[in-house]
Amino acid sequence: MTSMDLVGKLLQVLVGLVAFGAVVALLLAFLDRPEDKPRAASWRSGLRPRIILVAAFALLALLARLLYGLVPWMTQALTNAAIAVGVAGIAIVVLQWLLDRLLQPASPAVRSAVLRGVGAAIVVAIVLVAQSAERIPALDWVTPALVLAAAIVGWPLVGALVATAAIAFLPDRIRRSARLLAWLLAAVAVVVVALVLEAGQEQPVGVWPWAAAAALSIIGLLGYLADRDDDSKPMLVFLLPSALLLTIGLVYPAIRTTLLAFTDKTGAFNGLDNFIWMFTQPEALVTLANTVVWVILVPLLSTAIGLAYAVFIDKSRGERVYKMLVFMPMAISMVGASIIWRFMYAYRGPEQEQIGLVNQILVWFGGEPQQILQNSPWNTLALIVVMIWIQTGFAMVVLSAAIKGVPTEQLEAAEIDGANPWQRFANVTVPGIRTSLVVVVTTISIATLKVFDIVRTMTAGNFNTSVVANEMYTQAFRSGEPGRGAALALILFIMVMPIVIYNIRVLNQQKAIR
Amino acid sequence: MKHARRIAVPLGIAGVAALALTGCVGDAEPGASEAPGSTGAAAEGCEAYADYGTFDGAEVSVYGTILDEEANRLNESWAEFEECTGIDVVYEGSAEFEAQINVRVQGGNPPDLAIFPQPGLLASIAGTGSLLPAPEAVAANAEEFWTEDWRNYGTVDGTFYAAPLMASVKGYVWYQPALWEENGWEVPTTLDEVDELTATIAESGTTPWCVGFGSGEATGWPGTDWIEDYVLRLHGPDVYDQWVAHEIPFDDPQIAEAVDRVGDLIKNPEYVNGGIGDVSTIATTDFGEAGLPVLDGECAMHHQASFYEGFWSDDNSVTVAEDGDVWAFVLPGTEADAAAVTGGGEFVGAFSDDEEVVAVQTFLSSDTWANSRVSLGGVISANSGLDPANASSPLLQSAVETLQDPETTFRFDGSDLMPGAVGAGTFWSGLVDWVSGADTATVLSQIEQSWPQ
Amino acid sequence: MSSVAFTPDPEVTPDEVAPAVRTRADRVKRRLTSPWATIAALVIAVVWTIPTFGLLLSSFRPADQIQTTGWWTFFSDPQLTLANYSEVLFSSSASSPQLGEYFVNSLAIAIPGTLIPLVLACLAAYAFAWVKFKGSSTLFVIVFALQIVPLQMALIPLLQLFVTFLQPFQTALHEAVPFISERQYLPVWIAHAIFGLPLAIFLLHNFISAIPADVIEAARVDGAGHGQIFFRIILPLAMPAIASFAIFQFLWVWNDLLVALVFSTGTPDTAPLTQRLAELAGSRGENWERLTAGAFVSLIIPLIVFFSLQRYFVRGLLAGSAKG
Repeated sequence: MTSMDLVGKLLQVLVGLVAFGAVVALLLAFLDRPEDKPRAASWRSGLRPRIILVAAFALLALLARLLYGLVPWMTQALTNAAIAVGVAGIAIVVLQWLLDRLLQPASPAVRSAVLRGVGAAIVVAIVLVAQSAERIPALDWVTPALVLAAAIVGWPLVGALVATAAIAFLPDRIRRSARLLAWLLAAVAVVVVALVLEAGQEQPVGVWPWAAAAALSIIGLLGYLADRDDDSKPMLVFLLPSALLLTIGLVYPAIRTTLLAFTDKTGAFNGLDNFIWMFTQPEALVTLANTVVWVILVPLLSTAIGLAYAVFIDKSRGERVYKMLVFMPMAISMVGASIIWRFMYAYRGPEQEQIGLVNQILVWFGGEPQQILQNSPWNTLALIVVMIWIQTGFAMVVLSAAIKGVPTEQLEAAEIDGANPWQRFANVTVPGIRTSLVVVVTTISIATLKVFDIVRTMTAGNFNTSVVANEMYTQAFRSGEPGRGAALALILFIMVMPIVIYNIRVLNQQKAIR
Repeated sequence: MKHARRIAVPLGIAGVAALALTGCVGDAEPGASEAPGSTGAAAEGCEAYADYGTFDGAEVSVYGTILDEEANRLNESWAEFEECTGIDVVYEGSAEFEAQINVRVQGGNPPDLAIFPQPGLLASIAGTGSLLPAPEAVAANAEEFWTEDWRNYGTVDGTFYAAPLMASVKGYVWYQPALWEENGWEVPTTLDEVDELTATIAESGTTPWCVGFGSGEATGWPGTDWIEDYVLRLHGPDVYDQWVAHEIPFDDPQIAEAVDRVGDLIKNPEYVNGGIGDVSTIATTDFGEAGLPVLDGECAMHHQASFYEGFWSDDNSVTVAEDGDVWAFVLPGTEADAAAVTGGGEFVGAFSDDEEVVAVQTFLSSDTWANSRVSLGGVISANSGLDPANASSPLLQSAVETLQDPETTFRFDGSDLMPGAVGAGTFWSGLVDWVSGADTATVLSQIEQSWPQ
Repeated sequence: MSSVAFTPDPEVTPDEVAPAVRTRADRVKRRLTSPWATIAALVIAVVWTIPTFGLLLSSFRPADQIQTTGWWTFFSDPQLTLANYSEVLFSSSASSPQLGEYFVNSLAIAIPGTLIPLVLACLAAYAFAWVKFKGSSTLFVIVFALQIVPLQMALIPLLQLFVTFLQPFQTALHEAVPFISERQYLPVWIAHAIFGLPLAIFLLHNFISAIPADVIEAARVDGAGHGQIFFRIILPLAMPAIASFAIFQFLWVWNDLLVALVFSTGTPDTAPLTQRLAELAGSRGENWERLTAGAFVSLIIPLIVFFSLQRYFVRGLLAGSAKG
């Protein structure tokens, strides 16, 4: 590894974290508007901070220009990028200052309309620049796909911004719905434009417009929720980054998977064929039954053992070491854990020397060595043991923390009332950590439903040990049957519904208490 | 507010000054990063690569299943080519290739070149439309150096996509020559003799066979090699082709016969599983370890492809030769001297038609590359321009000769040609069930049902 | 202000807590335990440790012995070697540089891969717990349910988005700053952030919403806005929960192979340790000697992280204390 590589890597991490920090800070800067604070104290309203900012940006651009040609690492692209940042920064500061001065006396409706108008203008500028990017040397990295994307998403976005700006002057009652409608229409427009272009062009647009549409809908929806009153505005700031990431990274794939479940491998609609296949293949019932056994046993046992262990070692000497020992499996990857346990279960014939500990113990006690991974149904239990071995550490750590949070006064009160240790545990500790228990069981259940590495590494789903997640992976990626894989994913989703519903109930109870 | 005007003026001036001073940097790049200039004149020893041209700073990504030591040798095999042409060939190997190539292709991020270990996978990727037909130079090389059989495995729906790379010959039976000589066992020349020999060895108290189907998530594939060998030898290449193409059902009586013949050997508790346990251990014993008891004489024979040569020891302490520690014979046919073998190989498909990619692809299909790679050891190629003398061991030399012999009937590993759902799915798991006790008819009909419509 | 009482001092470990407080709590709690409990705890600890211990011992045994005899035979016939570790750590060649580079990659992936979802999840969890808005529960349930979207199903669409939008940007960054390779960690970070978010929001929400309402009310009466509440009350109070989750997320990212396979380039530029170890294990079945040694090499950092953040676990989650 050359030191240059290392510098590049560190630089990446540094730039990445600083950029991320800047985005978060920028978002939070929009948050607090304490009325009682003197305005000059805020960087957004004061003049002095603005001058400093403008000077800093100017300095950045100047420095880049001066260094260009003097030092080798100041490339043309970097210089232009620095100048662009400098100029854009100055523009934004000046713009914000102007808007702030202009809008101060204006009504909220006007303010909102003007801000949206400015936003629309910026989007228009971006789209236009993208379209002439070919002629600008500094923008040679803008691919045709990006230009297309800027146009497809940009114009509906402008439409939505302009429309919502106009809507600001409507009465409150219809304003919220009208804004939501505008955003949803923009989302639809993105998809429609993309589809039309796709039909007309040789070059396929791809699937991303669906993701863009989903993101626009989310912005609209969050705006709708936040539009009610000023107090819920901050939730936009708090939720927006997560919402956008989740939308493109999980919501959109989830929808896509749902649609995929009703198609064959050429992508043609095939009704319920995948589901019919799923329930008619010879081992379907075994797979489903196994999954149910997994999702019952793993959360139950690992939580029970983790809780017991946490109670036993609570306040004991060497608690840290105890915790470390049981936590260690958590630090090993699933594949690593499977390898360890395949080693534990290894089998040699009765006449040979055993190399697996479990069989060796059987032999020591005079038993016959067993093909642990092969003898159904015990082999499923053997695999479940691996998952319990891993997850107990999670349960123990979380529950141990919760136990320490149970107020001592309550335990003392129970003791004075004459409760024995078990009663104190059952009547004081357990109710005290109920929330944590629910969290632990839920998390482990979901992790269990999704587990496939263990099965894949240890038995590859043979000998009646397969589970739904393993079948899903096999179908989608090994057999080239994404439709069947998607159908299995839907089954997983259905299986997790009871857990979701239970959690909603708990959540509502909590809300009721509060 | 009165501060505002006082400061606004300098502020504006500062901004304008900055804009004026900076301005975009034009194309006139200062000498610092001047292009190093083309290497121009070919360096010494580069004559063989002159036709490929020179590319400065070009990079070609190659993705495949080859890992570890084999990957090092692969990199070594094109090191000279890289030096002479200036192309940087970046190889990435992954044990998850079969799944990941699907993900990358569908995700729009395919490598420049992919080394497909199975024609079936090649065909399914070609079906997505993102694989490019082989460029002319590659097609010409394939025409020159490979037989039609081999070219056909790189052809999908009449379009030639991928030239073969390396090859392996399956159907070898490994044994310990010294032990055989001591006991007077002779290398069988027909399948019937194999059965007789097995019985003879069992009577002598040695377990005849070591078998292991285990291979992580691909558990079962060593079993498919057994079945394929028997189908080809018992019923000939035509039935084999029909079976692989599903023109006859998977549970056809001829296939059942082949499976039962295999079953007579490896499902007989008297005949397996030397040094490991009983029949049930076959399904879980890793294929890499399964043959090792041959060295201790705990079993007499192990059926595995030519690549098993490298498995006997890590440090070459085991000599593989006719008079060495282990040696192998090709599983015979129904009659003596019937030359029919199954085998495997890789195919190089391209997702890009950039010049440098074409150059690499062409190079990989040439006899230059085949000789370069084979002389590094461990593998062979069916490239007819390959000099058998370059093969690193007596066994590989004999394998090359078998492949290059025009009399040899060569058939590609059937499970690699079948649709993934069968060839990398139910065929594997079906044989695991079968060797764990399920009967032939049930297993074959289950596999038949799973064949995609 | 009441928040003062709730601000935990991370420097204080339980051993340093005022003795008077401690003995009272200890007296009550210790009665829960008994010799039997201690024995049970010991048994669990031993059973849980044996597999890892066997692996550790095996990693020091000669390769041929690992495959032929059980690791417990070590006690009767001790033979140790460092060959496995030297093979894993220092086997170097053209295609496979030493492990150090992959180690750097793993860190460079895991640290932002932990911080980014953590920060975003804290923000979101606060919004779900303490900002009242209509549809809050519904949105939360949706986020919660997203946990079950199988990673595998999200890989392809996400890769498509990255290829379209992220790659040109990455190329531009590389051209601007040639130090930074064209192969970057960025896609891996974003992918890990996305896949970690639902669980992070769910877990942190549970702890953040358990912070007593009167603390937050008091702050509001004092005129604090949401930003101030978040930074001055929520973050300090939820620190144990945040630290716990940080450890879990770090472990998941550190041990991940699937995301790395798809979003890292597989070259030493970005590929993490897990990817390298998977290659080391090779295609030839079980290279026990490499697997065992490799597993322990990759265990080191997670254990260090656990040790250094452990005091937060031991301190317990103060936030839960007022609930009963």
